Amino acid sequence: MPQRRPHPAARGRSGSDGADRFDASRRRVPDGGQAHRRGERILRDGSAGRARPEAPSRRPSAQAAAAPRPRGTVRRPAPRTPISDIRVPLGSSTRRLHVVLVVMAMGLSLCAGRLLQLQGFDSARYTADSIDALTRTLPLLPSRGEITDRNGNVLASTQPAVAVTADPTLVGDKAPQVAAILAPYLQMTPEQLVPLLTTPDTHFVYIKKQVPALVYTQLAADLSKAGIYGVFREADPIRTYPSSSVGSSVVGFVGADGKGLGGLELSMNKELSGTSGTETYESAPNGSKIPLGDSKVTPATNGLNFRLSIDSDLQWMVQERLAAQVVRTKSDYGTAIVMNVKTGEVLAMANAPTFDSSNPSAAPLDARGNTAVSSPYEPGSVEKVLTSAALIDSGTATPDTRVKIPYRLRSGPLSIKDAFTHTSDPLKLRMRGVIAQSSNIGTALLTRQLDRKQLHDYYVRFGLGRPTGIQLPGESGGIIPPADMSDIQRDQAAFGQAISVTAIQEAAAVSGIVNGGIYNPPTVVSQVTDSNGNTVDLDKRQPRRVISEKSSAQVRDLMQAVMDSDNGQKNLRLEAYTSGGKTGTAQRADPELHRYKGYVTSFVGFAPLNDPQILTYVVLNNPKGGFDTGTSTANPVWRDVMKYALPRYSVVPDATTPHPKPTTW
Amino acid sequence: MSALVTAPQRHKTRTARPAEETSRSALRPLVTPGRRMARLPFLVVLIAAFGLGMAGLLLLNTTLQNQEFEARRLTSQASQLTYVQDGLESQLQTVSSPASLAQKAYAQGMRPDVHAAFLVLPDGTVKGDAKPTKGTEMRYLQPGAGEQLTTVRAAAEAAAKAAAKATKAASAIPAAPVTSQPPTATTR
Repeated sequence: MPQRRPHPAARGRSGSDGADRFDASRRRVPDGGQAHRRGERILRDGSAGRARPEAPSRRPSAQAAAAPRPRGTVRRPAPRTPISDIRVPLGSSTRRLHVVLVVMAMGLSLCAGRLLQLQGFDSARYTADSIDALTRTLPLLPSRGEITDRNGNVLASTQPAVAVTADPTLVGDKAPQVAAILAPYLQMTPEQLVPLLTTPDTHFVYIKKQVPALVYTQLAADLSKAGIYGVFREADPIRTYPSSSVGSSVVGFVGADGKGLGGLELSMNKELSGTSGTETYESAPNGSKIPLGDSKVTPATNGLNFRLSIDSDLQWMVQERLAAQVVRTKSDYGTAIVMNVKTGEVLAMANAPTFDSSNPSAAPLDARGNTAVSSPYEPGSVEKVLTSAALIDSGTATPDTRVKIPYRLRSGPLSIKDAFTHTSDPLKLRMRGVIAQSSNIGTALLTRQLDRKQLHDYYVRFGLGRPTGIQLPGESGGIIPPADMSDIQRDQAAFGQAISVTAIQEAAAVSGIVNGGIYNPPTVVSQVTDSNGNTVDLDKRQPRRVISEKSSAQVRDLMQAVMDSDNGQKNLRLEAYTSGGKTGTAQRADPELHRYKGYVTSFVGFAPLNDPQILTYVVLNNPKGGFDTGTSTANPVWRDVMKYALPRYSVVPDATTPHPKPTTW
Repeated sequence: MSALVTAPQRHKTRTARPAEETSRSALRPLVTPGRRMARLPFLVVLIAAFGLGMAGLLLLNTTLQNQEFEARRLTSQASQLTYVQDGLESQLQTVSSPASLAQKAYAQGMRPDVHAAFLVLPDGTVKGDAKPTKGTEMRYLQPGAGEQLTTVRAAAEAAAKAAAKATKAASAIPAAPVTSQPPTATTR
């Protein structure tokens, strides 16, 4: 029988000490089955593997105690290793399995718990985190609405452009090379570019703003060809004004940030701007969009498009004509408004001097606004049209009312005089004559017969004393005397002093009076559409009746008398059209001296007489030299504008030889 | 009929044979399983199937990616063309603006016609006095007058500002020694 080699583990354990003896004795039993049950290795020679059914499963302990001695003789001495000391005896395999199971179960429970935490409780947060890490959101900028004139000529539009930016930490060491590529595109010299590209301690510099997008795409292609990374862009659209200064005071202009700073660009900034959208997409760590990745686009809502009532051809003509007259008369400034009487649409609104919307800073400061809506002034005799409308509509007077006009009229401490020489004393004029000759005394005398509150209410009804609501910024309301005005105020307001109006208020009021008594709120916008072409109604103002149709005809009679007067036939009237008008020459309140100095000269007129279509109002502020009346300053502009505008709007010539109605008695 | 007759006969012969065999041994023939593929060819087939699948997947992915890249290229081309279009449109708007057209017309000697006449249909009457334009009807309409006025006024404003600055500086000069005087006085 071959010697059984003991199990190495058993060997170490057996040679430990007496306390371990019982175990050792048990182990030394050469019983293959026992060894197997204890988990010991079965030797290859088969000694332990051979079944010995007859052998007892356990030996008595006495026999076991005697065993070590003979074993010592057969066994080779076992080398002691430190590891054998720490070996713990293996318990039953069941227990070991249980322990492993428990350990594994604990491990798995931890995993499961973590899984539950990740997927169950915190899943939203982790999803959000991972989405954050993966996705990028870009704002989609809306394009600013377009402004066109009534015929579709573009007055303001937006061209795609970018601001070129750079990260100096990325391009700094290649600055000369980058500068050489950028210079021709950006129209800058490398000497200008290199300091920008090498700006220390920053990741961001603006190289140039408002670079057309096309130029940038070419530039970017060149840079990527050269393998340069570090030049970027930012959306920075350019607002273009192809008509430059034509209609600029209506259209306005935008600042460097693309926000409106003047005109309609300012007053309708919100509507023109639109609302921005977003684009969300999955991106690689370098920021590039992952093809086939998830992306979501919330489109931007583009701004509203405005079609103005302005006719840019007419507008150009009016602006140039007015500017020439301002130069000729050495006026401080001039204003002209051309209106469609039937609708209240402003066909042209000119100021001189004005500015170029593309380059407003080149114009003097006070020329960058719109004096037609923002600067109130004392209108002078043109106001007599409004006063007589009140007198006639209230039944106080008719065009044939007879007035005795003294040489001077006392009004409190002041005395009112007329600008023309009286041919008799008292001068006997009908109301028609009072207006035709522009008698201040006559108007004041007639107005004294009207209740002052009623006069005030008529002025309010005609739209004075408060903004007209035209869609332009900075509109002034002007000042009218209160309902309990003093005698002097009433006398003066009657012929247009001690009352202040804006040109648009006055033009709209006269338009309403001659338009059969229907006042149309003045407007510069004829249609507003959204980006889909749907019409948007922004204007809630409604036309209203201010005087009766009969009164309107009688006021037109008065204004016809102006044109049929000697001065009218010689200077004022149109050759081809019947018309009505009124000159105005007011003393000018000097804002610096705080007293009257110089004049505000004006002319308002409409044509044709019996079916008014177009009204033009021209004001020249503080003309100098020999020019000091509406006849010599404003009327020539009025005539040229009407001659140009009436055929343009297909108004059929209807001139007849004048048959002046009686003005005296 | 003959089939019915022959059938039992066959059955007989069949039953007879097993009886002989059982007498010889207890071995029964087993259904031989289908010939298994040898290990190597099987692996080759497996790898081929896997490889083909992978290649197909790669091909599909690549195609899709290429299409995406193509789409991206076309989008950028489209936007570039839009930029070109915008640029050209803007140029067109500028040259067709009323001011630019009028100035060119004036340069060629054209003047506004203020003698318009209207032909009324169907009676054929003419309303208005149609006559040739002399060119002097609007002699005070001068293209460029507005721009000139603005330039002159801006220059005047700049000059006034400069003058105001100069006077301010001039008035500041006498003040300067006064303010610088006290320190020197204290040092004395």
